[in-house]
Amino acid sequence: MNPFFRDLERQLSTPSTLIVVGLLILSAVGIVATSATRPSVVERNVAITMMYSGEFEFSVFASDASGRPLAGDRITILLSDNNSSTPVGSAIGITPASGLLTLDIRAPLRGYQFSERSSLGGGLSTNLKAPPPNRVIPIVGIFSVAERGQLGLTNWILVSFPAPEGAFVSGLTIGYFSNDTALGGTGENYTVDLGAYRSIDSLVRFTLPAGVVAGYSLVLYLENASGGIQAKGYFGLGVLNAPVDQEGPAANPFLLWVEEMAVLILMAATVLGYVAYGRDRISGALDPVVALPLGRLQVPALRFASAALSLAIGITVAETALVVGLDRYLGVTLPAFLYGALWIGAFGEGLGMLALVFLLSHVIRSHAAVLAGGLSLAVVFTLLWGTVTFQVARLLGLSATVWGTASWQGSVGLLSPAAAALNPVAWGMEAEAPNGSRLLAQAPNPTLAAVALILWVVLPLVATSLLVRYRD
Amino acid sequence: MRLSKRYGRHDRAAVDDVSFSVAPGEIVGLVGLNGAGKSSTIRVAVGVSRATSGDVQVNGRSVTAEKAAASRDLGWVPENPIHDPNRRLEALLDYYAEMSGAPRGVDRQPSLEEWGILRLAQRPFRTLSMGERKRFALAVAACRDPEYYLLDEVFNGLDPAGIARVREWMLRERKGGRGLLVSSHQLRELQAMADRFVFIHEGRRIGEVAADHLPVSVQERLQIVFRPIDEAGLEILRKFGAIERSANGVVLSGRGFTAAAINRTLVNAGYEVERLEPTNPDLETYFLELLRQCE
Repeated sequence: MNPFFRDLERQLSTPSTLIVVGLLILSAVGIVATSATRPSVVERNVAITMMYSGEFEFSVFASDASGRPLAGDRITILLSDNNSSTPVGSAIGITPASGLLTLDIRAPLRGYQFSERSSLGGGLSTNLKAPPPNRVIPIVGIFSVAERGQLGLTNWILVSFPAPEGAFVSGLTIGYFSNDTALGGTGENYTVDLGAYRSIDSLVRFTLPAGVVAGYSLVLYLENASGGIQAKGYFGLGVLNAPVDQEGPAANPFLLWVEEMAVLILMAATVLGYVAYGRDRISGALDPVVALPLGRLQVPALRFASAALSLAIGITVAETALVVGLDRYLGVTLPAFLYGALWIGAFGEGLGMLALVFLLSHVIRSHAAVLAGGLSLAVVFTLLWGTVTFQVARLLGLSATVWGTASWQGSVGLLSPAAAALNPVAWGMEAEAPNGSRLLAQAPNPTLAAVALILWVVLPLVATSLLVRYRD
Repeated sequence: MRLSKRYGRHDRAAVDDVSFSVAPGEIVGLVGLNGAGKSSTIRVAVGVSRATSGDVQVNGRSVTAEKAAASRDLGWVPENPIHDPNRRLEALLDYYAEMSGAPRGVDRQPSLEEWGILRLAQRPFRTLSMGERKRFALAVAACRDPEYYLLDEVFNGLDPAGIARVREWMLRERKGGRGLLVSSHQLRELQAMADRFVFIHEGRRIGEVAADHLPVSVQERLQIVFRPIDEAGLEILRKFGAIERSANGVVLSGRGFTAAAINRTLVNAGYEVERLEPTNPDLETYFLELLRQCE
């Protein structure tokens, strides 16, 4: 019988392998199921329609990051004088099943501030210039911060704000400020000249000095066809160091799966590598196999191949759970290349981890040390990779990040080198999302990541083969 | 051939320039103290360890350069057999046989039965006693029907029935043209079977002797029981060699005497000889003599 298939059969019938692959699949299903049913509370797409005709009419649409209506959101609108900040009126309502709530506040004709608060967290505020008398000026803002992220000191957000009828968006300023300083204070402003766009659908990137704990704001300029500024909105947004569980992307099943499975897959690879090779190598149970009519390098190669195939099966089934889960819970079908990139990325990193465990098994003759060392490296590689890449790139004077747009919701490769290297966004691929909106994503330098991934897989394997050939 | 094995760069060589051969149809005993390098020699010979220098040739094929081909003709029984602790014996035997290229579906039960462990076929390896592990290792080594066997302390842990079974098997394999290299501290057992002995001390080969030549190499010993045992009788025996009292008689050591001459002399002197039993020149004595010469 072919030794490759025989060893694969041995690996796949090992209880430890079945348990590890089973846990991997269970985790994947669990992540999709729990995240798909968890409402996104902060990352609401708030749509405000304001019309003035003797009274202000506000329409608020609360939805989660996937666009599903959020019912039961208690909305408070407060209108106050633009100069004196004296309250003029307020209205409170709870969003129905449709997520759409209309609130009216009567107020005299002049400029106002308005603020909106949601019981689910977050909020929106703006200063409004008074429109000309007896004229209805609809200012429609479907404002969203669809994505937000940080890599090292670089922050990025994606904003979307279609201009109302008869007006266009002429500019956008984003500024950061410390928690106790208003926009325009000590912070720095970044102005994006958008020209005569009908809408904003743009990525804004800015760098904060180290140690700054800041919020950020957007200043939006709306102009009419004659060029006069009709409205200038100040949108106070979240604080950059807000807890992760209040962030929108965390509620996205795809991103959650990617981020959490990244470390789980590497930990699974560690255990699979130990079961396939390290355990037998350290205990001496590999010796009778080496004594068989096989080449010296053939034994570790066979064990590596069977562990890799076990891992591939686990990742494939786990990702299938993601695909089915997304389709079932969200009704979203993401592009095939995204799943392909995700699979290859996860598998590539898994191979790297397997190779490391094989090497560890040769230099450490302790079961506990190999397992603990492997699991620690798995965590380090997944959780710290972005930071490491960023710092290495800075040291080398290279670009640490690349930017692009993609059709899918979020980036694959924020945390891991393989996913970064294979991230279609990193290579500038772009397509329309199923819901028609374009999203943007960030990834570490793909070339650096690709080189790192190759070295991660190849170097331990080369070192292991040298040890097998010349030291054992 | 001129085999050396060094585990650390600055450590003493476990095997130092050792050369010997094992021919088909021959049992070669590998004799040495603990840590002498017997197991290291065997591990290098089967390809589990790599030689620091030198090489092992199996039917003209190098274990270093043509490991897969050379290993096809080798069966190994390690001193302390270790296998996947959770696998059942039958599954393990299937695995080793099929990894060696054997077809699937071959009934392994006869192999287990031959070594008296058929009743353990469905037990995981970790539940086996030392002797049962040895029997299983023998089944693994024999399942490929190799031309040469390398058996490391093969009698350790075996019960008397197991030792007898292994002894019979070794003699049968020799008769079938197999070559066997056997390391063991049970020198009487080894002496009863081996055709040749290779002696190793501190990693070096210190001697080699054919079993046929062993008697002339060492002092002959004669166990003598006669009555009465008195000083005059002992004085007669001292003329033939050194004597030492045993429980019920005397042990005579020396060269050039025969049992017949001793018997005749004692009877002529009026003693009643109850027993005259030549003690075989033993391997142990020869080995210890060699060690003394080395030091």
